[in-house]
Amino acid sequence: MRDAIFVTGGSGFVGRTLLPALRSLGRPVIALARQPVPKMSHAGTTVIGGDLLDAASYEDALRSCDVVVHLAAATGRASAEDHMRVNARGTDVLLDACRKAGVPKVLFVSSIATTFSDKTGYHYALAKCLAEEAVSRSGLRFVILRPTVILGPGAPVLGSLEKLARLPFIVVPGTGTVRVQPIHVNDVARCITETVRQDLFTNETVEIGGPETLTMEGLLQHIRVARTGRAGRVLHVPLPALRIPLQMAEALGLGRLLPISAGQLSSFRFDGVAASHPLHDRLGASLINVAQMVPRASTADLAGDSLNAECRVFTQHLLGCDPDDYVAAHYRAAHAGMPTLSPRGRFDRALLSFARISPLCAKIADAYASLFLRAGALRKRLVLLLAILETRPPFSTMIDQALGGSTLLLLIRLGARTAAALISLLVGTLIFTPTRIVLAMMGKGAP
Amino acid sequence: MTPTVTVVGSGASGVHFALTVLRKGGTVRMLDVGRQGRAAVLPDATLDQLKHQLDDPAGYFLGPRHEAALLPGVDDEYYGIPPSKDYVFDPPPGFAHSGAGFAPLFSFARGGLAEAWTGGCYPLTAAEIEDFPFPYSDLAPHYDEVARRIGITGEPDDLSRFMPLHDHLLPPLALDRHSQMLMHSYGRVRGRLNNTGAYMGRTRVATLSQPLGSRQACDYLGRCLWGCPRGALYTPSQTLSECQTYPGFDYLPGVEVSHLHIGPDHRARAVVARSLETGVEQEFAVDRVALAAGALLSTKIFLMSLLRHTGERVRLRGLMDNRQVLVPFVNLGMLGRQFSPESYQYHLLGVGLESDAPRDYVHGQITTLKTALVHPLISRLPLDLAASTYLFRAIHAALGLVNVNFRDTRREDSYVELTGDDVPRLRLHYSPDTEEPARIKNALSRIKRSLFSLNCVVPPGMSHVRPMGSSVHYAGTLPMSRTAAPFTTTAQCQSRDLENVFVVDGATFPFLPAKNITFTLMANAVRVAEAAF
Repeated sequence: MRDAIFVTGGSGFVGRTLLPALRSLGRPVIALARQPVPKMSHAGTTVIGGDLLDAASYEDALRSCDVVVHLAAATGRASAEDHMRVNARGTDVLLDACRKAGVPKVLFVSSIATTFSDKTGYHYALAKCLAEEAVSRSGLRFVILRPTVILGPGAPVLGSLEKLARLPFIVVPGTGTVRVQPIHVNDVARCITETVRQDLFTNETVEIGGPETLTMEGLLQHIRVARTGRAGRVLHVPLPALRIPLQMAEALGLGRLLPISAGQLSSFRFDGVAASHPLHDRLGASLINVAQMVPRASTADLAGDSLNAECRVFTQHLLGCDPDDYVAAHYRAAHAGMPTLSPRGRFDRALLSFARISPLCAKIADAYASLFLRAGALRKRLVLLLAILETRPPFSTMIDQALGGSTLLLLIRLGARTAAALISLLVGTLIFTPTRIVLAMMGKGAP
Repeated sequence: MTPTVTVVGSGASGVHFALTVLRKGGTVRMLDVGRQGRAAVLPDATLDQLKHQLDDPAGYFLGPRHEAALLPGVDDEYYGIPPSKDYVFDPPPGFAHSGAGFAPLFSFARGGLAEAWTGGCYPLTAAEIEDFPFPYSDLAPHYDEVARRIGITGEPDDLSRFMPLHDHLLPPLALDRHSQMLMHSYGRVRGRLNNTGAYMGRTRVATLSQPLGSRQACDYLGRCLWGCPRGALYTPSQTLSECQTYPGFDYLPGVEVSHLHIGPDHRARAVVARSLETGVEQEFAVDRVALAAGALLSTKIFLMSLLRHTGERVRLRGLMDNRQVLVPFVNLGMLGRQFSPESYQYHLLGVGLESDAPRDYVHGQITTLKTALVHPLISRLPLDLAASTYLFRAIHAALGLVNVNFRDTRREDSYVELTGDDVPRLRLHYSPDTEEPARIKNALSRIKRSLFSLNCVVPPGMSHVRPMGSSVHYAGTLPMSRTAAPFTTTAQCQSRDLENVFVVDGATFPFLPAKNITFTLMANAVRVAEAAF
């Protein structure tokens, strides 16, 4: 009997939630994965190793399937080529295989980004549009779901939004007035499960979103409060001011190093809200609100999480590697008993916040502090961390290990490092000298 | 029964004084605060193994409150005392002092300040004890005796001209690579340096190069700074343990002596001490008393005794301490090399600067940097800490430090007195002599030139003149003198004010040479015990 459900992208963010949910249907589930994932098997799912673009690797499995749920996609900062290859061509290959294997129905999870009026440079959205067309022209019974921004534990997009929300000023590309309607990953999984259960393959495209609509700025502020315990000031950055440098960096092949792609800026330009659709209600009301999607951490958790994250960034800055749990535990414990580690004054706090963003920011802030704020909270924390690291292998070995080699090599390495340090100092001075003056002029508590 | 002598304090002077009296058949009661440390952890592990094997290495090296992490912005003088030696400086409740120009360290530990010393043992020359009211021949045999007791390594070399040889000198410790390189360089330029009055050679240290009694020889675990787990580095608590094997020895820890109860005949009747546990004051009847609580604390007991007896607040002049200047250097020949943590960590080499007057001799101890915590050094480099750490790895093995010591003389404007509070505190006042800056400048210039000829450079601006009190060689408040005068002591260190009170620590030194005086303190205490008891 042909009743199995075939899922692509089962190990991805939505897939991990979907596979257990599908089991409630009482039907066999087959998941395609490039590499077998042990957890998927535990969920009562048959996992087959294969590649979306290589139909031979899964066409046998399709013969027992009634439905294909197509989640697999290149996302985020993947290259334009990868977006096209996986999202567009991969979908074509899958649909061909479905037709050959006689699979009658396909559920394609697309994106609300396909509704943006200008998708120039947004390769993800462009590729998803091509895939939607392919699905609708496939001759199979289909439904296309276009979720809005998907949140929930481990949501990849949350990491990017958090980076913006946790800066000293919340950086909002554009006006921040575009509307978003975040949907929880559990609700997305339920919509998919209900589509299959109720057999709603009506050859339609359905936009699905969460129960609340808010502005992008409101969402970032919510994340800020949830993650740091307090709201922050907002800095609006005109979109062209971000897009042009991002595009230039992407053209130079530096896309993977950037926090966001030029195309992703479209999310800050166009509303990401689901249009109402009769099917939407039949899929079950979306219940989970934003407060539950990004829950507010407890004070203790906030402090601990924040220090863990800080410890990680600072260790990467100092030694180029991650700390272990032992180092992080000592770093947290030291803060409980050493009031001297708390920042004094606005500038001290601002410098610390900047340094926490990334190892590069830590280097720039540290370089500035090494000359101009030696006894500030940032230097104290870094020196404390260095003290902990120098007692704990393998970090102690890294610090004790001589920087040897021939004299020439040694000089070259030291010269390069010193040059990098001086550039950091220059950048730090350019950023922080005016900041310090402005904060001092704003008065109250500034050093 | 009243003991032959009641000793206050268990430091280097007190224990050697007591042991000598005990060996002569006398009985000794020793009153002491007696703070104690913990037994050494993993006694067989090298320093590196310690980091790997301890469950909580950061707790061990930095302390439970991370107090040994030296954060920037802390202006206090840095002593690098590890948590394992914190007990050495742990004061009894309520202890306080004040001062101007003088920042002393006090110890209430079992074994005193030398529980955290670096073992330097330098006999004085005849010229250096010129002001002492006895001939050199009275002191010299006691250097031999102390060397026999504690084990001192060293060898005859160029520094012997400043440090007389004595018996029982053990072979010197093995040199680390950096020290070897310095000695090799010295060999090349020796004649030239000697012409300028600069000499280099092996230090004399109380660390065993071969077993002595139950103590093991140094096996280069690299843990000197945190406390030698082998007992190879001598500490006075070892002699205290030896005293405790004598039936005539009565050791009473847990009491803080406040003063002596003086009778109308100006003799001490009893030692008055407060129990740290109960806070109750007790009187211990005495025949004779030996104050050995360390120069400053013995002075305080003396002043308190006079205050209680006569109501008079006396100012004792002549406070001395060795000025120390730290001169860091980089040995260019060691750049980019790997340091060896498994070596002796304190000074293996010394430097001596001859002066026109022998008493103006300047003494330096050279320490090559190995296993000390390095974050305080890295954080001083003027770059971001990642770059500083990277740079430091290239220069770590090349770093060294000369601790330059200067002599001191008794002067009227350096004194000790009691405050006027209900609970009087010790107040210290120190004024350096006007020629000191010129003396330091001249010596530093000679040290830098000498280092340069050894292929070492001194980074500009990095030399550090330590505040007075840092060397922990305090002396001069109750000096031995040939002429009888109030607030002085006889050649036998007997007080001229309180007849049955002997002061057997540094308080009686009438001159403070540039060398670490601990060896002479011990020898002098033995001398007094031999002569007067």
